[in-house]
Amino acid sequence: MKTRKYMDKIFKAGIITFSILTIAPLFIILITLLKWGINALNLDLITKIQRPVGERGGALNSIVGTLIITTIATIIASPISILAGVYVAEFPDKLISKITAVSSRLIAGIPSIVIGIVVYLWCVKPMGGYSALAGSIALAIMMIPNVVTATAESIMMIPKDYREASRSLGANFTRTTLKVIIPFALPGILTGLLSSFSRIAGETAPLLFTSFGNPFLNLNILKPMSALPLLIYNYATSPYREWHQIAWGASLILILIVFLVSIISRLGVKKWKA
Amino acid sequence: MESIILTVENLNVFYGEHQVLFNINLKVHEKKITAIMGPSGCGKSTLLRSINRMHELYKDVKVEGRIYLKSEDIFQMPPEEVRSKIGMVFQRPNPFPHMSIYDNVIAGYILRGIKLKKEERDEIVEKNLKSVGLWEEVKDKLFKKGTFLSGGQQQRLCIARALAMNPDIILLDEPTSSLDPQATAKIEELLVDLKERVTILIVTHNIGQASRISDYVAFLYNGVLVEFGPSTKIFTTPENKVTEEFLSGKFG
Amino acid sequence: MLEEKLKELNTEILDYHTHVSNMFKKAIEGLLTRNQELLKKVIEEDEAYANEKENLIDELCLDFIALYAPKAKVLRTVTMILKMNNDLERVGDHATNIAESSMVLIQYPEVKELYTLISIMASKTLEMLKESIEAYMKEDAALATSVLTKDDEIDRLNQEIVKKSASLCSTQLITPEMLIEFTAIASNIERVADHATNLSEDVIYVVTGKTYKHGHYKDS
Repeated sequence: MKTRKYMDKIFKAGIITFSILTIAPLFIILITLLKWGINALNLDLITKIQRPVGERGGALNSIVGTLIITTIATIIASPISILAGVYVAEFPDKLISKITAVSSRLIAGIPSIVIGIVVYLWCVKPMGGYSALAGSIALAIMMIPNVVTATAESIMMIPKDYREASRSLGANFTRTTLKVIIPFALPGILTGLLSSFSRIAGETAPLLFTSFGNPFLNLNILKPMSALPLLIYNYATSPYREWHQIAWGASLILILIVFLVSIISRLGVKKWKA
Repeated sequence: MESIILTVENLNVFYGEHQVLFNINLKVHEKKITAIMGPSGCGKSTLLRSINRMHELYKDVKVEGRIYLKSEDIFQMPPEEVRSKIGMVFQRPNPFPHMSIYDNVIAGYILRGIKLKKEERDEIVEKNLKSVGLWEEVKDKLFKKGTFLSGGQQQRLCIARALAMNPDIILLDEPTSSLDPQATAKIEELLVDLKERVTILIVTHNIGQASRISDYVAFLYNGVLVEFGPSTKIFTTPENKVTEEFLSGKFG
Repeated sequence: MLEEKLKELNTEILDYHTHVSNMFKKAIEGLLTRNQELLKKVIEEDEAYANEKENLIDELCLDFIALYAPKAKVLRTVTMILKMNNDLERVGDHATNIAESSMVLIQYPEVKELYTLISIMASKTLEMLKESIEAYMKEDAALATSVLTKDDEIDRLNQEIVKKSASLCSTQLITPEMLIEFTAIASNIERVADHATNLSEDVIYVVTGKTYKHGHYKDS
């Protein structure tokens, strides 16, 4: 009898302990980041581009690079994924639809570095060099599964009443989809888009083989471009203390960007619904 | 002189292998209310939805037979054209939640890509909201979304939306079954007023409703049209024994 | 919806009432003014119309109940319209009988005393008919009740006419045939008054929900 009571208590204690254990890394990361990164946050960081050791440099080119590459990735991925999601949701029984759904899930399982290498082969080599565009393409591929799933699920949640109402007024499939289904599903689709965005903003491996990095501020997407993950990778593995500082700062900025986008999207969706 | 606006000829409908409607022949009188009545599962909604070809949105539904609107075969017309001439109101009110009340009324035009001038739009909205008795209640809130409206008001909005397309016929599939008695009474009165403007075909499982508002009744049982006639005849001296039993409440 | 349909029914029953009241009036007038044409009209045209009207109103009431499943006051009203329809048809019948008897009597010379009594009895009866329908239109139970009190007077007049005719016949101032017709007329007028009281009892029921049958209120 007593042993059962003890077992119960031990088990409960165990659950609590392990829960804390899972939260712990998050806190450790945030605290470490703040501790080390706060010192690095200064105007230079966001106004100056990378400079050789000794000169005061910043992360401006990487910040701009991240923003450009992820935005273009989103622009590439959105129409493809959303429309694929529409097809999967509206015609679930067709063969192509089933293949799409499965493929989408499989893409999610491909290691990001593999995607990077493949895009290197199919985009970088034919184009004759590294480019931001190739990076965007790689990241876009990674966005596809999330957005397709989010779109399909949002659409499938729409009661068939609205579809029928639209068709009964004489609207055809296209207009019903564009003017009733997608607007209705938009909050879900946007959520999917933005969670994808948050994911790819921090991806390093694919960019290594595609946009490669660039010490200068470059706005030409056909040329190599820097990005925050690349900067962090390079600077953190360097022997220079100053560069380590910058790496911490860049990490903080990266997290802030992801955070901001997340908050804005959530507020945006709320406003839309109202 | 009454004329026939819709003729259903030898209609058979199958859900996969399972036959749901058997050889339905029906003539609908213009500018009258015809009720389709019968116990649950008898095929009333199936019959109604055949008329505006809603079955084509789903696979596995096979429709055989002919349906003529005036004298045109509706299966030879593009489905979108059929549906612009034959409107529908559903059991649960379903105004588009992401559109304002104003836009909901003209939703048919928006969704078909028909461009209208502002004066035309305003006129259509006002005229049809007045026809359903909603104008006074919503005229100051036209550009708000319709979610604050009560169930009865939402359903009237849906009727306005269907009316705005100026259809020849409006199909109503148990339009008041999710509404309270007062809202139901309002809509029944509305339908009686509307028949001057448009032919009405209503499916109802409520015998009282059918007797109150209809001019003609079609009684369906197990997918077969058992009896059809003027309401006064069907409710006083039905010819068929099954009709008699249904009306006396022997089965529902 | 319901109110309009009920209005239609009311219009019909009022029409019918007017028609049979006129039949009664014409029959009596035909006797008193010895107008054969008038009497013929009642017998040949008015009677047929009265029968048609009764069938029509029966059907309308049946349809109304089937279609609208009325309750409470509306239900009482419609069921009473059915009963009134019946009473009115009988009034029409009696008017025709009076006209037929009158056709015989006008072959004979006028009998002042009896004609006067008949005139009084008929006008009181006509008043009862008028007031009963007025009570219905105004939903006036008090007026309806007052009609009921007039019935005794009509009975008394009936007795008087019978006695007078009998004595006139025994003194051979009128023929036995005339006696029969005079008593028939009096009896028919008395029946019309009876139907007027039925109508009034119906009005009381519709308005108050209480049955006033055969002389007293029944608690419903």
